[in-house]
Amino acid sequence: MKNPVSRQELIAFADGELSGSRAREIRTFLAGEPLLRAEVQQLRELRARAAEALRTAPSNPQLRRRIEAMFDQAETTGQISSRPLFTIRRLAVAAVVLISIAAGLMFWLRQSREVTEPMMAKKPMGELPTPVSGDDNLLPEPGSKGVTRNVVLAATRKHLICERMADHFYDRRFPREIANVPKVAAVYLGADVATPDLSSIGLEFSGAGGCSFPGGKTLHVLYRSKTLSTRCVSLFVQPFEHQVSFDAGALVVLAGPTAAHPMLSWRSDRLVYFLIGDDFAETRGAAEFFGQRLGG
Amino acid sequence: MALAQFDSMYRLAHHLTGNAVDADDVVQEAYLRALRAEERFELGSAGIRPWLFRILANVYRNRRRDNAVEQAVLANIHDEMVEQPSDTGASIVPFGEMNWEHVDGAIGQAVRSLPDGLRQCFLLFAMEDMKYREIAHVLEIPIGTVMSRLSRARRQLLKQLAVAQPAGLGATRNRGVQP
Repeated sequence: MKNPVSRQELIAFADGELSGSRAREIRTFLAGEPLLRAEVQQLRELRARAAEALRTAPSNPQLRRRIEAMFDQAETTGQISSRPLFTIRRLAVAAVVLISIAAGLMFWLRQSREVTEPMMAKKPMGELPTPVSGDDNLLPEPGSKGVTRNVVLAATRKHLICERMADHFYDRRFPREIANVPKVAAVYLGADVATPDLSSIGLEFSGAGGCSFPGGKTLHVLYRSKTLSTRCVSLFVQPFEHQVSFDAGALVVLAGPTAAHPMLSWRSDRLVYFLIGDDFAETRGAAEFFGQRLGG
Repeated sequence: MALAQFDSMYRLAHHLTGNAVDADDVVQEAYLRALRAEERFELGSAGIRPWLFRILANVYRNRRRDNAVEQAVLANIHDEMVEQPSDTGASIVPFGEMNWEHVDGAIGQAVRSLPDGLRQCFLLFAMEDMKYREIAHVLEIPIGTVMSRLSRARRQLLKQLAVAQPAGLGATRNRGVQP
């Protein structure tokens, strides 16, 4: 038999893609073609072996639970969204009014503070714990305080990427209002988180959003220098799941004063914070605000 | 129904992204989009799986596009990093010293080294056991392209795995199979 089957057909046959009659014809043809049978067998073997090897990838039960919670929440939200449109409009108008009032109030408070406390820096919200590590540089060995060197490097990388990419903060993944952070982040961060005002140390809120920081489930909050656009402070917030071994309340120096990008970490019972900047004094100064406002 | 596909979705995302952190993000984003688009979904004979996988493939594609920008930035800031984490890869068993019993450990690495388009196709085909038309639907490409990509993927895999083909592809062309 000459050229009874095309190459594409042979592969499709091996993949089980041919109809019954054509598959039978090819099977009959292959009965007298041991080399082609071997090739078909090789293609099938590769698929089967690959399937077996690839299906061993890990799962993530915690992520599954979070998504389940998201679905449950959506069921409730679905009932709300099915209300008549005018209800939503009324809510939107009410939200705008409330935001305007809040903005006006904040402006008035700021003005009055400037009058009463001229040229004074904002007071720290409380005493910081004494640094646990005296290292000036990166932690030398993986596993120190539960934080590996790669985590420090990954955080540095994320910090630098976001610092250099101003456009990064204009898309929906990185809203410029902390109230608009993705729901997946808000699930653990909570809806009542306030963004600390760091303007007294020359930093302004630049954006916040979900981040692919090691460990997952991370919110990245970024502040940018008001005078130097390439200078930033990043805060990465994760739910505390024993990924660090230090106690709640301790401030750990992961990268010290001589590091190009100093990094501090602390935790509460619920959350872990990684703060990284471009200057140690500035980073430590920022920690004073974050430690009280987000860590409480 | 959608959550029944979670393990498959996560597995695919993990193989596409190559790490758990990005896989988490991709799966979360895919489910979020699915939730938002729920009302537009119509359950057909194919079930919910191709629809979900299509969303996941789109999320992954978008992230790759974003990451390409990140990579360009990274190239500029490389010098500022203290050091780069090193990747460790499984070694490929040398040609001629291998049989199927010994390539299993190397298959994952070989698949990861495939170009992205070929890897997506092959993962859906081998790992998720999808038909050509399902893969075409998920990746939004013609069936002919699916076949072509699968063929190239397998050629590359076999080459990487150094599977001996003394009586295989080359020899068959003179035995009744059109090129």
